[in-house]
Amino acid sequence: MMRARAHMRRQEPEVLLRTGLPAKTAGRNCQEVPPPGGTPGCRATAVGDAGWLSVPWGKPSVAPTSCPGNFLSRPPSFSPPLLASGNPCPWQYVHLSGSQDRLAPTSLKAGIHPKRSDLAAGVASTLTDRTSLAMGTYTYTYTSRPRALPCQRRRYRDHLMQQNYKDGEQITFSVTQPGQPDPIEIQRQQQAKRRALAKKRAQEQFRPRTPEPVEGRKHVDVQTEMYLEEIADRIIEVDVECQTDAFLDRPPTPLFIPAKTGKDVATQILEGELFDFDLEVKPMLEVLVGKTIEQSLLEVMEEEELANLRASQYAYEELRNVELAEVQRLAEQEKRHREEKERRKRQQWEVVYKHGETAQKVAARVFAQRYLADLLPSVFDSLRDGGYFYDPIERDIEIGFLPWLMNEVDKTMEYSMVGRTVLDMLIREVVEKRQAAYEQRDDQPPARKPKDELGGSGRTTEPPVGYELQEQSTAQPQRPLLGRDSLQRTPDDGRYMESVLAQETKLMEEGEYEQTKIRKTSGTEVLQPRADFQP
Amino acid sequence: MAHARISMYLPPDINPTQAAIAYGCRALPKLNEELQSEDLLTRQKALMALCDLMHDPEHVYVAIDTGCLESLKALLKDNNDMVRIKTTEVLYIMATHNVGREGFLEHDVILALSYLLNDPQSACRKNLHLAFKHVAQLPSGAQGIVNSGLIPSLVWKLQREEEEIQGLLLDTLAACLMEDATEALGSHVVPFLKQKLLSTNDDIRSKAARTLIAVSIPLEGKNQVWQHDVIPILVHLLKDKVEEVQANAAGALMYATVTTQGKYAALDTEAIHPLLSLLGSSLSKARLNATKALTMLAEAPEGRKFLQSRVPVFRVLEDDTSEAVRRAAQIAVKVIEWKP
Repeated sequence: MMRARAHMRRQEPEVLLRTGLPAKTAGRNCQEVPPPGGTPGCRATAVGDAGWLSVPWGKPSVAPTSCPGNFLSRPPSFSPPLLASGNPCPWQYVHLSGSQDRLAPTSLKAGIHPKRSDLAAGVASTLTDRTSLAMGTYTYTYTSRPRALPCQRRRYRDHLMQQNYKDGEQITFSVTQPGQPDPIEIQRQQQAKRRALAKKRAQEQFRPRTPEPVEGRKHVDVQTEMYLEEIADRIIEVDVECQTDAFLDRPPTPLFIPAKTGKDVATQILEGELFDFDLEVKPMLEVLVGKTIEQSLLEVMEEEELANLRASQYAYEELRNVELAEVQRLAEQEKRHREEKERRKRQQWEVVYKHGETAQKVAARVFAQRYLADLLPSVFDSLRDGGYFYDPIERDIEIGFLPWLMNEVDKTMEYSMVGRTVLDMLIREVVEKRQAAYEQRDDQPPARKPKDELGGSGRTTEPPVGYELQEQSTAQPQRPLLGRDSLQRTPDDGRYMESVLAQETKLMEEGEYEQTKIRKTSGTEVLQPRADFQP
Repeated sequence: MAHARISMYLPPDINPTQAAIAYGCRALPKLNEELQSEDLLTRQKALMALCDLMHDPEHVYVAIDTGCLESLKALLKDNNDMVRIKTTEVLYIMATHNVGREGFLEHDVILALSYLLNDPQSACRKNLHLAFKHVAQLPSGAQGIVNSGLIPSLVWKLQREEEEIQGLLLDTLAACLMEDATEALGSHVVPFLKQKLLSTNDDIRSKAARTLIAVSIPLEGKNQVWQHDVIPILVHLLKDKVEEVQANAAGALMYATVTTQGKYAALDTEAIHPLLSLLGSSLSKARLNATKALTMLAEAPEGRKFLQSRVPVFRVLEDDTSEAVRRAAQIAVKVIEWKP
C-alpha cells in the first residue's frame, strides 16, 4: 500500500495560459486522459470538478489525504523534459480569470527545497490552509508539460523543525494574470498563510506519534505490502525515439466510428404510432407554400405598383403635354401677334414715309413748274437773240449776196475812184504840162503841148495816182488793208504806178493844191493828217 | 414511412437549377462570388437565385452595394446564351426598382447593355429593351440613355425588330424623346414613326402616336412632321377604332399645329370635324388633347370662323369632370371669341 500521503506533485504548468477557456480545457484535457491505474473515482471527481480543485480541498485536512487520487491523477507517465535533473522545479501556477489568489508559497516552498519528500504533509496542510482561505474566490485549472514524476512517497517524517520554510521568505513565481494584486496585499496574505501554517504545525505536534526508538535501535521504514517495491530516487528512464517519414503528408484522419456499445434493440413502429404525418407536415407545408406565395405576392405587388406608377405617370404626362401645348400655343400666339404688330407698324411707317415723300414731291414739282414757267419763253428769247433762229434765205442773202454786192459796189466805187484819180492825174498833168508849157512858152512856143498832154496825161494821171497810192501806202499805216486792197486790185497798175512815182516825187512839193484835191477825191477812205506829207 | 434516424446529408435540392441562398446577410455576397466563378453551372444557378431575390428592393440595394453590378456587367459578355438571358432578366428586374435605376446610372450599365442590342437571342433583346424602358421612366435615366448616344441605334432598330420589341422600343423612345429629341430628329425618326402609324397593331399605333407627341414638342420636330406630311395621317387616325390611338393622334396634332404651316396643313385636311367628334370621347385624355388641338386651330382666322358656331360645345365641356379639361375648354372659348 502506498503511503497515503498527500504528495502534491504538481505538474509544472509550463504552458502559460492566457485566457480562461483554453486553460480550462487544457487542464481538463490533462485530467481527462485516464491515468493508468489511477482510481477512477477520484479521477471522476477531478474530471467532474473540471478543474475546480478548490472544492475537494475545501474539506478539512482529511480531504487531501482521503483523495490522494486528486494529486495522483497527475499522470505519472508524462515525462517532463525539464526534470532531467530530477529536482523539482519552481512550481508555476496558472491563474485563470477570476482567480486572483495564488497558491504559491507552499508549493514553491516545496519547489525550493531539494527534498520533496519533506514537504509532503506540510505542503498538503498548507495547501489545505491556503485553499480553505481562498475557497470559492478563484477557479483553478492546472496544466503542465508532462514530466517524469519522482517518487511520490515521502521517506521521512515531516518534522516541524525540519521545515526549511522561513518566515518572510519571498518566493517569486511567474503568473500570467495581467492584473497583479497589490504586492503589499500579497505579503499580508502570505504572512497570514504562514501564520496559519505555523498554527497547524503546532497543533500537529501534539498528535501521538510512534514512540522514540529504544536506545541502540533505530526505527526503520519497512515495506509491509505484499509485494516489495523498489524505492529509488532515480527513475528508470528509457529513451525511445521515433521519427516520421520525411515529407510525408499527414494522412487524412480516419473517420471516427465509435465502437458499437450497448445492445442491439429493435422496435417496430406501426403506422400512425410515431407521428401523424398530416399534422406534422402542416407547418412544413405552410412554410413552403408560404414562401412561394410570398415571393409571388411580391412579384405581383411589384407589377401592380409598376402599373400604378405608369398610370399616374400617364396622367401626369397628359397634363404635362397639355400644359406644354398650351405654353407653346401661347408662345406662338404671342409671336404671331408681335409679328403682326411689327408688320403693321412697319406698314404704317412706310405709309407715312411715302406720304411725306409724295408731299415733298408735289411741292417740289409745283415749285419747279413755277420756276421753269418762264424758262421757255426766255429761252426762246435768248436763242432768238443769239440769232439761233434765222431765216435761211435771209441768212443766205446776208452771207452770200450782200458781201458780193458790197464787193461789187466797192469795185465799182474803186473804179470810179480810179477813174477820178486818173482824171485828176490827167488834169494835173495837163495842168502841169500847161504850166510847164506856159513857162516854156515864156521860153519857147507852146504848139506841141496838147499832144503830149494827151499822151502824157495818160501817163501822168497814173503817176499821181501811183503817187497818191504811195502816199497812201506810206502815209496810211492805219489803213493798210484798204491800201493793200487797192494795191492788190490793181497789181499791174501798181507796177506802172511805181514807175510813175519817181516822176511824181519831183512834183510833190509843187503840187500841194493838187494834193489836197486828190485827197478829197480819193474819197472817204482817205484820211490823212497833213503831217504825213512830209516825207 | 420515415426513418427515425436523421440523415446526415442535406436535404436534396428543392430546385436544382437554383444556387443555395445563404442565410441572412451572406446571401448576396456569396451569390456575387458565385457569379464570378469559372464554372458555368455555378454561374447559371447563381443567376437564377438572383432573379428571385431581386424582386425585393432591399436585396437590390444590397446587391448594388456589394458590387453585383460589376459581375453582371462582365456576364453580359458571356458566350453562353442562357447566362446572357438570365443576366438581362436580372438587370431588368433591378431596373423596375428605383434603387436599381440609380445604380444603373452610377455604374454605366446602360452602356454595357447596349452591346447586346444585336444579340441573336430574342429573349435577351426583349429583356434588354424592358430594362431600357424602365430606366427611361426616370428622367435622369432617360437623360442617361440620350447621353450614351443610343438613340440613333434605337431608332434604327425600330425598323428591324419584331413587334413586341417594337412596342418596348417605342415606349423607351417616347420617354427619352421627352427629354431631348434633337438626336432622334437627326436620325430620321419621323419617317419611321410615320410608317408605324400605319401598322396594323393597335398597340404599335398608339405607342407610335405617343412617340410622335414627344417628337413634335421641339420646333424642329414640328417642322419635320409637317415636311413629311404626317399631319394627314394623324387626321386619319383621329377616326381610328381604338380610343387610345385617337387620343394620342390628337395630342400629336395639338403639338404639330402650333406652327402656322401645321395649322394650315391641318385645316386643309379637314381636321376640325374629327376633333369635334373626339370631344365627346370617354377618355379624358382624348377630350383634353382634342380641345387643345382645336384651340390651336382657332388661332387661325379660318378656324376661328368655323368654330365660332361651335362654341356651345365648348361650353358644355366647361362642366367636365376633369379639371384640366375644364380649363382647356375655357381657354378655347376665349381664343375663339377673340377679336383682333
